Amino acid sequence: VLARVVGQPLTNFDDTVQLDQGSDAGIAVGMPVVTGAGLVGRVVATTGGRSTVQLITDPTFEFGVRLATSQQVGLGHGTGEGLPLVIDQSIEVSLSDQIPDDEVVTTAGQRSAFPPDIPIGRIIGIENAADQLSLVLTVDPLADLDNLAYVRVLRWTGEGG
Amino acid sequence: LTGLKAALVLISALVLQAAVVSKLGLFGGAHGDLLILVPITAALTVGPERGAIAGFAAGLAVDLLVTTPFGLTALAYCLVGYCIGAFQDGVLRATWMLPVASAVIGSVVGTTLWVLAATVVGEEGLLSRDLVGVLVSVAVVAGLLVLPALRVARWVEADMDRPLVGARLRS
Repeated sequence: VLARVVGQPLTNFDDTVQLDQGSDAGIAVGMPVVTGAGLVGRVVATTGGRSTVQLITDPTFEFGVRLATSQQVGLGHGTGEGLPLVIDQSIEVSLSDQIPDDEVVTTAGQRSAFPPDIPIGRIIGIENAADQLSLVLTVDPLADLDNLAYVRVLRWTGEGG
Repeated sequence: LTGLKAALVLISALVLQAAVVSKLGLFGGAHGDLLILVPITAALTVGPERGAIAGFAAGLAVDLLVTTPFGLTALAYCLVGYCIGAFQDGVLRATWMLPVASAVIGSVVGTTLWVLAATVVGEEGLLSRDLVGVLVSVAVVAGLLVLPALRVARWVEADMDRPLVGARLRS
């Protein structure tokens, strides 16, 4: 469903945008929202003609990721409006040599809230986690979240979606 | 008529916040908070009780439009309105510096209160954000806009019953 962004985050701690399409257009809570560049977020509330989308930069937004080259899967989350995403779970430290510059991460798809292979962002930083067993990856979202005009809501609601 | 004026100002502030202020990324990409000027200017013009009421109404209006825990903004703005009004009551000689200082301090305290309250009720990830950038952004915008906002507040309270006690800012 193609939708226009009609409302930006109102406060510094609100990572949502409003869309001009809602349940009347078949949009339901949980559906992924994307642009041509990549993942934007997911629908968290909907009425007849409006939807609220939680952006991937929201610190409470968690998503499964897959690294394009190694196919390693991990778990990431947002850190706030205008800040990069962080992947800080399940990426083994032994993979640090196998992650090229500008590596793209996509949605993992395995029992995830999102279908697989949606681009999320590019890795812009790699460092060891405090336990020295895993990596913490910093990711710049591919979608321009500060200047959203039109987005596409995928009618995907999980298994068989 | 005062209620009508207040509602008009509140709606205008919400529209300006959504259409202009929230799109102006300042320090660390954070933006200002126009709505927090509602309790601050109300408190400076009509005192702590009405400042608290104005803050509660403005905060409630914000809470209706965001997905963060409901009622926290109303609580934070309400406390800001009361504290700024009480502080104003204790000031014997008002200068132009007073509203600017009140706006800067009030916006920083209000935002910090909100973050602490939200963290206490379980909102995750707030402390990992660039809070310094947020606090500086809200303080700068509040400090810059408080004087014109005070004029609006005086227009709203022009036909309101005057408070019986306490010093109030007059132009």
